[in-house]
Amino acid sequence: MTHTIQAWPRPLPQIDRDHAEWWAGLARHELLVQECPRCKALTFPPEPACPACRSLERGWRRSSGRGRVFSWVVVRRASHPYFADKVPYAVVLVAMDEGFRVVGSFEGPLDALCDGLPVEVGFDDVNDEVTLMRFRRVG
Amino acid sequence: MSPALRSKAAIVGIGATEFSANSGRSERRLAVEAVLAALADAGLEADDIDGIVNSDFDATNQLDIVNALGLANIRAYATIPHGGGSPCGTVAQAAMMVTSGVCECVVAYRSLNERSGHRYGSADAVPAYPWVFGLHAPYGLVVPGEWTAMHARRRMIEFGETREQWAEVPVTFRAHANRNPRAMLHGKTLTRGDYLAAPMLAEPLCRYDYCLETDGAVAYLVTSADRARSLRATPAHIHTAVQATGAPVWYQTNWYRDSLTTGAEVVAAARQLWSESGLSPRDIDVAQVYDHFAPLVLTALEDFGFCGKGEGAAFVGEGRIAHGGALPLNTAGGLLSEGYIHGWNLILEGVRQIRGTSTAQVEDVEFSLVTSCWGAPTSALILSR
Ligand SMILES: [Zn+2]
Repeated sequence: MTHTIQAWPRPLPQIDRDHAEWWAGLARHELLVQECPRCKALTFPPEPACPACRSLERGWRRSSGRGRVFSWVVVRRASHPYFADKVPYAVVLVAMDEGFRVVGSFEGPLDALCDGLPVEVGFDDVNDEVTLMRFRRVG
Repeated sequence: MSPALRSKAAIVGIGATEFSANSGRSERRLAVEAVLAALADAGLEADDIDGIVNSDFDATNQLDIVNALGLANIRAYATIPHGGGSPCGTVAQAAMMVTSGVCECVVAYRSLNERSGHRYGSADAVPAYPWVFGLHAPYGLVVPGEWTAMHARRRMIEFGETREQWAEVPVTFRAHANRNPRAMLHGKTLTRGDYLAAPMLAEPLCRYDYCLETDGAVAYLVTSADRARSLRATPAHIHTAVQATGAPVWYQTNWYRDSLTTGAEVVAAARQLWSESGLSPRDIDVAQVYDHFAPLVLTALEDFGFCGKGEGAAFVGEGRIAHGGALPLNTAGGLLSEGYIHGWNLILEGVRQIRGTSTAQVEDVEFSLVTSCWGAPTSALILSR
């Protein structure tokens, strides 16, 4: 794959109204998950209604930030030019202790990655709206 | 599709352009070529067409066909969404348009310059990522191969699978493509050694796990089973065609539901397919399984009930899915080796197996299965003699 060489910005999210509170949480360095005020079901990614009880009332719970690696990808050839000089890099899918999953970067040696690796979230501010998650091994 | 509609409609014409890396023509032109080829194959005239179906993600729309061919008799048209999940759903739609009596002859088509034009794998078209894409693109999971690697890794964790086992899928499909002069990779062999030596792109996947990028178009024509009897081609009856979403489902990033190795949408499609058809996996003589990524073929086979969960690697071993095996798969080479017309070329090969005209023909085919994308709202089709 060839790409025109130019200053490629980092891919960023378009933050819509259903996801806005979640991103605002990250900006405060809090990892949130939607928790239904009526039935307590956790929902991630955020939805405008509770898939379990169909309530339109939405609430949030703050995660401990701890979880375990559930799966991971090591990108060795970048598809997006922003990442061309960052390979190889690992992206982890983390099963948070509360019982939901999120994607984040992995900071640490690639050969440490394994199923169930205990990790803890850290935060990287990209701009006023966007903060990203970086997981590192704990214990 | 209700059992009441079973085999009341048939695919009576198929057409395609060449599959290439650079068509040198517009997607409009490719679409029209495929439609004309399908008409010629069926022995029908453009004025016979009174319905049009296509997929979303297409750069053309129905008007491009209407205007290019002067189609003045259109009575109904539809676009079926969800990309690679849509192809078999377009067959269900066309069958409903015909069996309802609204239309007599429906054309369906898909056209794309995926290799030379905008590529789904390319990052250049999207400055910021909406919806769930915004949750992973910033971390560098931008294209479908990078998303699918997360699912593939989980197969290794849960089932102890190895890339040696996965090799069976691309190597077998390449051998099928080597028999098919239309296949993009007709002249290129692929060995197990080639597969294992290939560098990782998004580990644990290499380029041979990825489908091709293709310029080309395909089209097919659907009419009633009654009318099909008077036409020249052996009709491929639309025995059963279903759509399903399951829940929840995203586009190839199904990381937030219970399992990464079971597709809720495919399990739902399979349940409908077998119950509405009255058939079981044992009845299927040959199958074209959506092969956007090699390891997902194993997951799809399990979700359709061809084997138990976690048994996919063993199932595809020992030549079972090769021409001459018990369940030949992707006999034209599939999306991995024939071409990637977003899953639509699998429908054409499913029809050829009913007609007896495949370059890797299975003997005495009674039921020919075609499936659409694992990991997106999906669809599936059983064609019969
Ligand atoms: Zn609820």
